[in-house]
Amino acid sequence: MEGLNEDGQWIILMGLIASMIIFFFALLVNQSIIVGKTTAESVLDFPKSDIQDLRREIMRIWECNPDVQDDFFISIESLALERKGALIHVHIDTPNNMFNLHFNNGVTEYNENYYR
Amino acid sequence: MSQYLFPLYDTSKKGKSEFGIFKSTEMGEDGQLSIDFLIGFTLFIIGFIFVVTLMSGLLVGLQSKTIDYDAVAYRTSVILVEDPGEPSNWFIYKDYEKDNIIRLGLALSREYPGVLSEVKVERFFDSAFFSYPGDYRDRLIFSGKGFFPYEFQITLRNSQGNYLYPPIGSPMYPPKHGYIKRAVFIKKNPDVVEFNCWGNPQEIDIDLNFPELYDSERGEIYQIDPRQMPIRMRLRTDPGVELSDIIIGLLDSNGIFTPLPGFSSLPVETSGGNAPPYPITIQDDGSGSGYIDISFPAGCFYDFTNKESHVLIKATFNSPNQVMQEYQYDYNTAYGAEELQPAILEVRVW
Amino acid sequence: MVNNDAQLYTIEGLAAAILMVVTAYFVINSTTLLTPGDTHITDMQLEQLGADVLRMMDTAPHFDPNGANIYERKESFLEDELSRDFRISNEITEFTQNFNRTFHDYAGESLHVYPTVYYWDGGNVQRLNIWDFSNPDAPPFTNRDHYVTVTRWVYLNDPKWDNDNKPRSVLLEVLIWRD
Repeated sequence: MEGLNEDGQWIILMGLIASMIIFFFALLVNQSIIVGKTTAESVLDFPKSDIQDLRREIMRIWECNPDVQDDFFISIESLALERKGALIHVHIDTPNNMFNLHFNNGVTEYNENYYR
Repeated sequence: MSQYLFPLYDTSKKGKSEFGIFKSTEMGEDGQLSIDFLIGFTLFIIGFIFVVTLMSGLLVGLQSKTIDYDAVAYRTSVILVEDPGEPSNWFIYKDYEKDNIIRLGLALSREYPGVLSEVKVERFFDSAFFSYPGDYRDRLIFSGKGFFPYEFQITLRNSQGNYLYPPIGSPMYPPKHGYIKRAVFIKKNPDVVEFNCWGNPQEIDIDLNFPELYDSERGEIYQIDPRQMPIRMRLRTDPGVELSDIIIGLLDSNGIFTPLPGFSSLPVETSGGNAPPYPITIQDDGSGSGYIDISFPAGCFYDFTNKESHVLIKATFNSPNQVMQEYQYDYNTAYGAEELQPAILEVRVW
Repeated sequence: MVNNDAQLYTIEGLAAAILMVVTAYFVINSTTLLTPGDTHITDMQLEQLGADVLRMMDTAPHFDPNGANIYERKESFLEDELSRDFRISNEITEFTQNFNRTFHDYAGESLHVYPTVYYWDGGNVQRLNIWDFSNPDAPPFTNRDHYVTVTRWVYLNDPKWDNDNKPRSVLLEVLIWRD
């Protein structure tokens, strides 16, 4: 174009690009907050301690009360639903000497038939 | 009007270039851009920001070594603390059978995670049996050939912080390493049980009453397991008695005693020296009595007994008294294995 | 009027504006960049340790052959302690001391804990206060520290804090945090 003065345009353009690069890094750092799903998170998600604890509790109750009925476990089922967000169902089958456990906390589902 | 739509052709100002970027003669101080430049620039910036936002996910794949190590440490700790190992009586195996051990776990039983068996713990920390790092890598860390060669350190301490066993693994670790700490119980082996056998009898019978010991009410964590734990006893006798032999055998339900092969002339330690050779005189050990120490290492009864067996230990003496004394090894006489000792297990991996 | 003069100024101003905004962003955001990935690791370690310690506290350290029934022969620390009558403040004080001490012994380090008991009264979930707030060694406030929650079911044969002589299962919820 006629009369176009191109002095110093490189400087200005590089300045602009440099500022954009800085802005890019700022965005990168901002996005890094949501990065980082680790194996530790998967370990936290799996309710290993909850299931082990629940099994041991059922065995303890059954050993101390050989005639326990399913309605005793309503307290455990309600507490688990309200405090831990887990759906539990326990059924004790005394004639066959076994109990039946359902556990579902939305992430993990666990079913077991335990023969004593 | 034309100056808005056709800046290219604006001739109102002297010396102004077509794009109006820079005027050589006069610095315009209106500080405004042409419309098409503004629009172009805005669209470019929007597009650039959009691309940059998408690009931030590119660098997620950066591998951070600390995350990996913590996962390995956690997995190792779960195998140690909650898994009885494969096969679950791996501590019985001798040196040449080591390859049959698939997985090293210290738990007493699958039903009781967090309770370790002292027999397994002693074997695990025995550096004469397992060598660092190869034996552990294949059976615990699972990073054998072809995998990243993790280095590790495993320690077991009591609640005061003192080591219960010398740590396994390399003593120095770098500042950034994977780490996990587990609180556990250790089920102790039974103590030495003392039987007072005064009166110089001709025979002393000690019945290891397996059915009594495998008491289902106690459960595995409070039982003495004679098939898997070391059994130690001490017979206290009058000084000067002469021990002629010790035989071990099975007592069946009809009371018939069958000696076990390989267990005759049992090696024992006494206050009069070690036997064999039999016969041996039991000296006074300074307290007015003598002793005979009988120990069975862990697992020695495993192969030829079951939970209903009665193992009888017959000690015969050269004595004029035609007296036979009988004792039972059960929960009235034996103790110590009911106690669970708290401990801390730490695993570091790098 | 809009014209094409001083476009250099404009771009200079634009670049300066971007630089200032980004600098201000860095300055304000220069506190620790603890990504969630990092906290998950420490959370997991603390949660596993807490679960281990609660399990140990709910296991009898020895078998008592002189107990009157199976429950008493294998009665654990938690089963014994959570049966106290928590309506009496002295019981709460003793419980707080015992729980704190035992937790520290089993964990091998001093952690802050704050336990609560939840139970079912037949129609609703109720909360039982078992902690002594005046104990200086056991403050129940996390002060914005990161904490984890671990739970343990405890079976009480006949707790003294409720008036019906029935066994019940309660949920012990413990908040655990490091300084």
